[in-house]
Amino acid sequence: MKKYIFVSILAALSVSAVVYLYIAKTDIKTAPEKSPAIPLPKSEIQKKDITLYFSSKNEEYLVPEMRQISLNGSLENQIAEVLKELTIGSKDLLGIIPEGVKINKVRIEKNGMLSIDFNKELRDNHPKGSWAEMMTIYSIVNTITKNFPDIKKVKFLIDGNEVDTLTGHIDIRKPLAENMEIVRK
Amino acid sequence: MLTYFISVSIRLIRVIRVLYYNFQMKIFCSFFLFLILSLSHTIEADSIGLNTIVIDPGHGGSDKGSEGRDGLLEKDAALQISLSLKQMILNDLKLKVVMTRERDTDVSLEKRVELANKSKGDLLISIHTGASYSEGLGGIRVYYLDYEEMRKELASGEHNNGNGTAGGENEEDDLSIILKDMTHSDYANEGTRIAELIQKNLSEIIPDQKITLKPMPALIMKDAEMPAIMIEAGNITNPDDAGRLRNREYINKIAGAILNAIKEYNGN
Repeated sequence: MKKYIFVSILAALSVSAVVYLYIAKTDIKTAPEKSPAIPLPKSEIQKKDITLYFSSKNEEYLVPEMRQISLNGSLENQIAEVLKELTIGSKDLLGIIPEGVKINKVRIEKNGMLSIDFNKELRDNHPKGSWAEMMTIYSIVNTITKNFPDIKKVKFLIDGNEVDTLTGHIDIRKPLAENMEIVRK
Repeated sequence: MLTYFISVSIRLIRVIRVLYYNFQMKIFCSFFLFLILSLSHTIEADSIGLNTIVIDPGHGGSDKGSEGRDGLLEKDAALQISLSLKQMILNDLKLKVVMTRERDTDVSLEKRVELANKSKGDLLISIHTGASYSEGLGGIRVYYLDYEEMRKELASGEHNNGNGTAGGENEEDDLSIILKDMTHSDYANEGTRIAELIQKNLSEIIPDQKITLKPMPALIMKDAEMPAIMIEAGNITNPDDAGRLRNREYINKIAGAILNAIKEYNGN
């Protein structure tokens, strides 16, 4: 009799253990089913309003364009994402980053300075007019300072090297602050 | 306790004395600078006369500058206009002309600035052609120094100051920055006047072309120790403009307009 009681208790225990494990398992199973639903609103929250500066069609001044893009990771990564968006170009305005331009590295330096290392295509594929140079430089500088207020100045590097000018005109030996004189709405 | 109090108050007095001294120095310096400024203006007003003109044909050698669809190179067009202008100035005005290059050679921007400043030029004219992303865009652009941008740099102690001495507590630094600011604001003012005169003369000689005037933080104009202007005598990426830039008559018209502007500025 005692044996039966012991066996039935054991059976009950094992059944409850199995049931518990099953429930726990389904819990774990349902959990990942729920989890894709969580990042969706999360990524919507991470989508930010970004202002990109492109050129007017007559290439006289810069014009802001609002866009929503998702930004993830470190500040440096986010800046690189925004810059990539600038290289993609615009539907209504004129993109003024030459073809083939890649960002080698974005680095936050001290005193609110940012250095951006571009590949040499920024120079080589540029039309090389001085106003076009002005527009390219400040579409980059203004886009960064506008969206990342902690960045006050931008230093340009080409394939890791400091340069005097991009194509022979505008002085980029020192980091540049925003220039809103060439922006029209 | 008492000795501590005494030592602290001595230090405080020292700091106040230094501050007071600095304040006095600043007043003295600004008065001194004001004196120099007013003197230099009265002297300048008497004799604006130009003696040496520096002509800088943009790019050259391995640096082709921008390139037209038809193969015309900026470096060649810039040199043609520059040589034409040089001849006109020598014939008409009997002024000294210094060229940063006279052939198709490589000359760095640094070297150009050095040549211009060593020659103690009174005016730097940098000659280029424009280039845009869109082929359809043409026109002439005249640039003067974007002094506001340069001033921001001077104020943060960054221009030509490799060490970037922070703080600006050094009186000598303050003084040199103020002096530099003053001389460059003078150069920028004069450069702007000349740029306006060039725009006016160009629109008289070439009335069918669009001629725009813009400020620009160009390296050569910033570093030149003299009034400076830059001109883009047409957009090389525009087929019509490129055609004109191949035309001897058009080249002489551009040079002639610059010559007339120099004459007008010089008062003869």
